[in-house]
Amino acid sequence: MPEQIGVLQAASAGRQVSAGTRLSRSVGRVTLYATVWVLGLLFAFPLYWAAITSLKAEKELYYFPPRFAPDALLWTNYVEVATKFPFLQWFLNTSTITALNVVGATVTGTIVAYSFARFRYPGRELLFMITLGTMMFPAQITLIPTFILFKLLGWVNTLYPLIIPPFFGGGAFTIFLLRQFIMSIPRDLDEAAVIDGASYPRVLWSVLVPLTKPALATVAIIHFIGAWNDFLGPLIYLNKPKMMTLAVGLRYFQTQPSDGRRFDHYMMAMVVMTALPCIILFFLAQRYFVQGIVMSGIKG
Amino acid sequence: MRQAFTRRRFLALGSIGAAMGLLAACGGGAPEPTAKPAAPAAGQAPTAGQTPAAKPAAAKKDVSLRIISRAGVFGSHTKEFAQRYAKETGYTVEVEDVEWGDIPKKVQTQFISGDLADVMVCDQAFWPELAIKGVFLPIDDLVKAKPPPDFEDYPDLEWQRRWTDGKLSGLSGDAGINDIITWYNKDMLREVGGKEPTDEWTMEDYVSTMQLVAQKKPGVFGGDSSKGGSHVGDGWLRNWGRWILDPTTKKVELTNPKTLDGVKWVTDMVKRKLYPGRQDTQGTSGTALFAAGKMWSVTSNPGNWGGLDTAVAKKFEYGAVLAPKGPSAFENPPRRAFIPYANRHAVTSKTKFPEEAYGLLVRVTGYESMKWLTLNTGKQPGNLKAWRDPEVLKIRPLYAKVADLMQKCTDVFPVPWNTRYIEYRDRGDNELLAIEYGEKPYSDAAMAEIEKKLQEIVDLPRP
Amino acid sequence: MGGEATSARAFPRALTAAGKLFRMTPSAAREAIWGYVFLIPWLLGLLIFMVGPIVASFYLSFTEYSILGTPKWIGINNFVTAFTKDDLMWPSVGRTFVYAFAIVPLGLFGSLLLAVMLNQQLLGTSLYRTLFFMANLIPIVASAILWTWMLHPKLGPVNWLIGQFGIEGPGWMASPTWALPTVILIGLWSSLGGNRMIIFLAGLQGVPKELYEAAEIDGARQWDKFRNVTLPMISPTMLFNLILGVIGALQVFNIAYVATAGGPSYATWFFALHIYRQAFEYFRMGYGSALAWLFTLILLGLTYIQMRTAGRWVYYAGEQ
Repeated sequence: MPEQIGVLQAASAGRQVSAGTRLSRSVGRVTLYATVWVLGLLFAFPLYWAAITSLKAEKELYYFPPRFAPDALLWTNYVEVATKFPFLQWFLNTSTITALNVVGATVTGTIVAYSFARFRYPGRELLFMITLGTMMFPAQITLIPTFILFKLLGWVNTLYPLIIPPFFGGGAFTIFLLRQFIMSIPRDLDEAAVIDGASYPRVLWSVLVPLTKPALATVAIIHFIGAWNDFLGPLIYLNKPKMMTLAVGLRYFQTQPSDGRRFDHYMMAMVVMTALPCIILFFLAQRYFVQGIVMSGIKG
Repeated sequence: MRQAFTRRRFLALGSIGAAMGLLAACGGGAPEPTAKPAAPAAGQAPTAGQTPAAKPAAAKKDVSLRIISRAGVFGSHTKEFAQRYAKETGYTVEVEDVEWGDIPKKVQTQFISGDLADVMVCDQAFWPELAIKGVFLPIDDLVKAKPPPDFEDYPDLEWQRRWTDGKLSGLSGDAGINDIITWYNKDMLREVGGKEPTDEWTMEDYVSTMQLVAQKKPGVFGGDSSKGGSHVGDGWLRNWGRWILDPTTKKVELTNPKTLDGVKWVTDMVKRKLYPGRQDTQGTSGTALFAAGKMWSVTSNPGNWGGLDTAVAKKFEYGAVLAPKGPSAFENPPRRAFIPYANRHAVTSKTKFPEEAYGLLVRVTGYESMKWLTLNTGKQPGNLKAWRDPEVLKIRPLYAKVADLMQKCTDVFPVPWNTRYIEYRDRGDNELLAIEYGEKPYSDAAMAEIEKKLQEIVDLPRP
Repeated sequence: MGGEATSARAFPRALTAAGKLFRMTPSAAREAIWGYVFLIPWLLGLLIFMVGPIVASFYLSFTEYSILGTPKWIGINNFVTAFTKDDLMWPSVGRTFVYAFAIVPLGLFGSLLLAVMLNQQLLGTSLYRTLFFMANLIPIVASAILWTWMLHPKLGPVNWLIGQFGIEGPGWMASPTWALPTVILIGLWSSLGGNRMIIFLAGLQGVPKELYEAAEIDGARQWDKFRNVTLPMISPTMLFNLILGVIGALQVFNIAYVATAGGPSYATWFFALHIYRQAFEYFRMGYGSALAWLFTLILLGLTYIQMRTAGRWVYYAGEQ
């Protein structure tokens, strides 16, 4: 670690922090900043590439060597993508599915986590172990039978297969996170409310939920991103073009037409438009996100 | 801000979200606009459909059709003529745009869930497996009752019959032959001082010009044709007189000396850098290399012509000739074209309006639609009359010869008789291509091994 | 809102009866019942979406099922085929393990490194955090398209950049030798700044400062502090991330399906892809289910091993 190298020198020179130490600490600091910036740019470069490609004209895509900036900023590409393809419809579908996913997972996840965290009943530990155990099963196991199930229910070609399952607890990870978090809240608060005559639902709603907000935010973000970018689910269950989501709509652009034309600029415009909501959401809410995980003690 | 986000807010947002979602879900799952009361009226439908614009009022029997169309430019004629059909007949026609590669899976999913569209189109390679599943409606009776105009001009109808007990189910929407046209860079040819290719040029001419290019312009390739492993590659290899999959589609003959000659030729071309290697065409196509000026020629199917002008963007002048003649072209009888294909549209077996759907099918694949397709988008048509249309020939003079070849071609589209196309293709793509690209050394033993594995796949029963 | 009084009035006999049955006091019985009530959504979901399908897939693994007809019972034939005749299966397992062995340690230490860096109270941490996390936010189809274009051996910017330094760039996804490393690299790019990093960050922030101070008093230098304080304290986090990481890595599918189709020449033909192909493209759903079960057994075995050996290196600071 760059910073630590500087301090290392300080430690070996004795415990007093001298001017030389302060200098090497600053050097270490600068190196740290530099490293972080380089890494940050490395991670972000592909997105930058997507952004500039989305602003190019089709003929620029054939240039070699590739240009790192477009000839002109063709914002019209975005307009074309939004109008020529049912982009708005896809956006709406994706938003709907995501919103319901988030709601379902946070609400039912909290309820289930409350049960695991605060109640004593026979079989609780076993059931919790089973919950964790479900994380160990690969998705391939349940893929086919679940599809057959939805087909029998007549739910293929509707949004139901994508929005109903989250209402059953939101998944093992969510339950785990929330349970840990609730367990970190002192029981005294519960008991005080019970003494005041509160029923269990009331305790949950009035006492625990307000204190659980960071964890709820975390769960919400995780589910938002997961649902927004889900690919396999919509691919299997949504057949009509006007029902599709952004992730699947991107497939339209993916095959290279056999006459050698390229649609990368449209693809990249869609990529940018698809990624942007998640990026903005994360940037605004990241403090909650981290806090939620910190305070849940999930590290153990 | 944090304090203001009370639980009340959360609850409110949540319920709004849930309400929105339920509304949307309901809206999405709404039943199709009135498809029910058509049964008795179906009897009168044929006459109403036949006289366009005569009595659109007669169609108040609420006929509603869904047609799957190929997304993008390739499917533009489907959309255009579906709309015209709707206007002429007064039926409701809904077009479903599906990306080409997804169509087989989508059709199967729709089939299983009972929600199949009325008319669809798919890649010929997937036709057999859908056919044996009963996805298509046989149209022999409908054709007899009301033959489409220019029925004789639909290419290669016989091939379909082997998958559907001799019955006819589809009409082609775009057809052609793989690797039949070579486009070449005229400017580059002049630069290197090569001989101008003609429709009668041979493999030797081809190779010698490519060599010239490689010598005079290092880093630039000579040409490319479909290498594609066991399926697409079969067409090119048939130039040497034999095939990978035989005409009965039951036997793999990869180790036939003539086929091996072809494989060795391709491997050699890649080794000498006359043909691009895997890394050069990854993610793009030979055509992209050609358009970028990094390859002197490209050999492909006629549909490729469509976007070439945009891709080349006047960077250079290019010409088009028939692909070079290989040894088989000089055999008796001369064999010139090898993988004829026709991507067919079909009426599906679950349709509630067979006659109306058939009418839509004919309209979308007819001569008028095909001609429109070529003139408006440059894509290849499916009906031979359109291939030979004088207006089309003005922009595509070579089409006349290609149409002749399509009619004379006797070769069979290489899909195994048991319809296990994907497995057959995957195996060939992964193993045969590795040898052709020089990643694994060529040896007769290796080829025998590949043939054995391909034959195993072909020997499996039908699913 | 009902209170204890209401419930007690409403179900006094039931509770005492339940209490007697389970040897609980009425209030304990009431607590238990409420516990189960709140658990209902999860229990239902477990049965419908987990237990049911798992049992169904277990049954299917002993059948031959091609979607077209009905499943036909063939006993253990599928498993026999997997072990004897399927020449693609074991290489695909091996390949998947190679992928996991590379990406899990690299991913763990990479995420840890990033988390440590973000923990240094830098100016603009939220910006850096977002930059790192952005890669994780892009849908996999988009990443695949993006990287395929960027890594094009002849026309893409990456090789062009490398070429400026006089090195000829490799074939990346078009080369049988480079395809697997490329997939690993893309996987790392996508996940290093993701959830794992955030979890590590949380873990780091949870280390009590007193421990560091105590170590400093004892004369510990920076590296010693890291090795003797930080690492042990976050070792539970590491275990958690390790287990989840292995599970996720062994299921690698998306990138192979979307970007390389398992090639070139089987280079990225992973086990999950093999299962998918067999079940959905080669008409062998029964066989695919059998393979899925083999996969699960391997996964469970690995998880068990990890948890057993965890005692040796994971340090719980008096919690649990």
